[in-house]
This record gives sequence, structure tokens and C-alpha cells, in this order.
Amino acid sequence: MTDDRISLNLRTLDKSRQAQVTLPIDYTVAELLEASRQNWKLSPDTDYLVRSERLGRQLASRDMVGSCGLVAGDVLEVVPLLEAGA
Amino acid sequence: MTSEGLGFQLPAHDRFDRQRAIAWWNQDKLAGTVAMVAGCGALGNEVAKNLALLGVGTLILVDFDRIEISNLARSVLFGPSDLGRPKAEVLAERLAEIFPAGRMIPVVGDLWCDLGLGLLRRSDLVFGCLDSVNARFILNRMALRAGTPWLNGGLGMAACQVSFHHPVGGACYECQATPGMIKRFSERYSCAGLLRMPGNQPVPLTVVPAALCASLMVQEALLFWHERAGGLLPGQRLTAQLAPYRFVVDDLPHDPECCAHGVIDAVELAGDPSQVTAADLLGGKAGTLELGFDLVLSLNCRHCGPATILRPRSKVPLEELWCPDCGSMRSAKWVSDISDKMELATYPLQDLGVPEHHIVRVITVETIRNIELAGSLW
Repeated sequence: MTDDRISLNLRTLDKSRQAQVTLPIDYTVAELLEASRQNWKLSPDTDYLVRSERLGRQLASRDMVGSCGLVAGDVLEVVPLLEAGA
Repeated sequence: MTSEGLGFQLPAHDRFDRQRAIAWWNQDKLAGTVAMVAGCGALGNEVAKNLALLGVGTLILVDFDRIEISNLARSVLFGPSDLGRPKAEVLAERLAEIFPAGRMIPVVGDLWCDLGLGLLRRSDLVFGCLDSVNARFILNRMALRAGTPWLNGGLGMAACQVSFHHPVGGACYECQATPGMIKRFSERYSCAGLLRMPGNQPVPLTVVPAALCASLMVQEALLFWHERAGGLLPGQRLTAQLAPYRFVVDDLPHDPECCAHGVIDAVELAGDPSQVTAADLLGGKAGTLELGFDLVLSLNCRHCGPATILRPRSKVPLEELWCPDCGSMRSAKWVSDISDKMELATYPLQDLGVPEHHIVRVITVETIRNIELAGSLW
């Protein structure tokens, strides 16, 4: 991690997709999700969330990757928000 | 050496004797428990079936929908002879067969405008078995206002999620909202605030994740009712993935500015909404009655004049915005408060769309009172 960038390991919950990314520290979780959607062609009909494996918590959309407790090398997972029930 | 003569005794031989043999089990507590199942589809069927088998005393079953043929592959308690019938009613009938000593209360209607908040307030736990973000946002706000904890279940093709939300702490369902969820919620309403009927896009699904999700939800409920540790804490979500197998528990982000939080204070009881008026509840004093929803008074056509509606906003579909006589777009006039000066103050609250067991807030210069209306369901 340099002063203004952080390297993270990103993958989907089912581990079918993964990437190493280096992001500006003011990059938001919402922006990271949007980039994941586009690069991995995730379903447009599903909402996705980002969780930190080490912290055991979902990151808020407005969180910035450099100021939400993440450290270089952390694993982030893109998790679908499951909506069906009927 | 055998155990004979050591004083070991088996529990009484009845339908619950196996579960009574669990050291921490309290069957009497379950018999006195009130659980609400919001959504009576695949997940609601499985949850309600488990609750009835366990001997939960009172089940309130809520769904506006009717049984379709595609429900039969996932809903254990629906059969071909039930097609076209209300899901909540059929489920109540079948559960009464499973557990005849239980009390089953079907509510055939919409969460927001047909379910009185008082029924949520009387529930010990709500099971959200819904199929949209929109309905979950609504149930979340209602449960928090009523001061009732709730479990949210969600299904995917080979995965399910359970989250636990409690009015006294932790993230609520809306705290974790992403821009996508908020967009989806707002898409349900037009810019005039009227209901947009969404296209019915079928979701690929089997009964397998529904059965798993229901088991996890009811297990959480058993731990909660018996005050046992080991389950989800308020504001946590469990994701169970079936291919490959994986269980993950996460803390959800709590938003201190989330507007969904806030429990209704002490509640007084009053009469039936088919008879009681706002003027009655104001007791002749100047003030207002907050309905808790938007009431569309009229749709006004600039060519043909106003047409009286008197229905909650969520019961007025967008299509009604166009005048049936000349086709022009009409403007909606609505209120959310009834003041003592309005003619509507003399109407029975039922005529203003107020459901049985609803809680209204009555504000005068001297007091603010929350009043739960009576009804036939409880």
C-alpha cells in the first residue's frame, strides 16, 4: 500500500471470478461494485454487496477502501443480495 | 450396569415429547408465542410448516397473492385444488390440520395498507418471506415502528441468506441499502407517487434453498425465543451457499442516519375503524390524526374535473392517473393527516382505508397519543 493506493484481492463469493486490484484510497465500495459488475458481467437484475473476509463484515456503499479498516492484501468478496422468496 | 432404578424419566408421551427431551426446550413458551409470516409462497410455506410442527401457538399469515400453478412445485402445503385461492387462507387451513391446537390468522392483503401495525406489535417475531426489496423495505419499517424483531430470508438458485433485525440495536435492513436497492425501491412508484405494477419476471428457483432457508430462519427463532447464544446477533446476516458449500456470517453496516429506525411509544386501545372517526379520537379538541400512510383524496382532470378516490396511495395503480373519460393525465391530491377542520374527520376511519388493528397517532395541543384500533382478527 502506497500513501494513495491500496492493493486488494477481489473475488465473487462462489470463487468463480477473482482479480488483484490496486485502487486509489478514496475509491468507494459503490465504485468498486460497479467496476466488478462491468468487468465480470454480473447479472444486471441482481444487487451485489461487498464483504471483507478478514473483518467479517459487509462494507457500506459509501465506504472508501482506504478508510474502512482494510489493509493491503485483504480479500474482498462480491456477494449477491438474494431477493426471491415466493 | 443399566440405567434402571437411577431415576431417569422420559418426558410425557405426546406429539412434542422428542423436542421436550432437549434440555433447554420450553414447549409452554412456544405455545404462548405469536409469530407472523409475511409472504406465504415457497419460503413462507416452509417456515410456517416448521412453526406449526414445533407447536408455536399463534401464526399470523400475510399475503395479498393467490395460488398459481408455478407455486405448486415449491410450496409444500398447496395443491392443484387450491389454484386461484388466496395463499394466506389456504396456508392457514393446512396449518390447522398439522397443529389443530394452534391459532392461525390469515391476512389476505398488502403489507403496507392492509396489515394493521397492531398485529405486528402483538407478534413476538416476524418472518420476512418476501420476494422484493420493496416489500422488505416496507416490512422493515413497520416491524421497527412496532418494536418487533424480524428475520429476513432471501433465496437464490443455489444459495440463501438470513438476516436478523432488532428495534433495539444493530443494522436494520435499510441501513445496508445500496444505490441499486434504493433505485429498485423508487422504481415501484411513479413521480406522482402512484403505484407502478412491475413486470413479473420469473426467478429461477427450486424448493431446495427455500427448505434450507426456512430451517435456518426457524432455528434462529428457536435460539431467540429460548434466549440461547450461538445464533445471529441483531444486524448480522448468514449467507449459505450450496455449490460449493459455504456458510458466511457478516456484520451489516449500521447507518446512524437511517430513517427507518424509531419505535412507537405507549399505545392506547380504541374502537373498530368501521365506526370510529378522527373526530371521535380527537375528542372534540383541535388537532390532527396521522394516518401513517398517504390517502389519495381525488384525481383531478383539467377537462372533466375531480374524481373522488379515497384510497391509500399504494392502492392506486399508475394507470388510474389517466382520465377514463378524456384520456388526459390527472393530478393526484392526497393527505397523510386528518385535521379536526376537515369533513373527512367525520368519516369512519375504515372509509379512509385504515385497516383493522392499525395504529394511528392523534396530536392535540396537549398530548400526542398512539391509538391502536380494534378489529376482528385478534
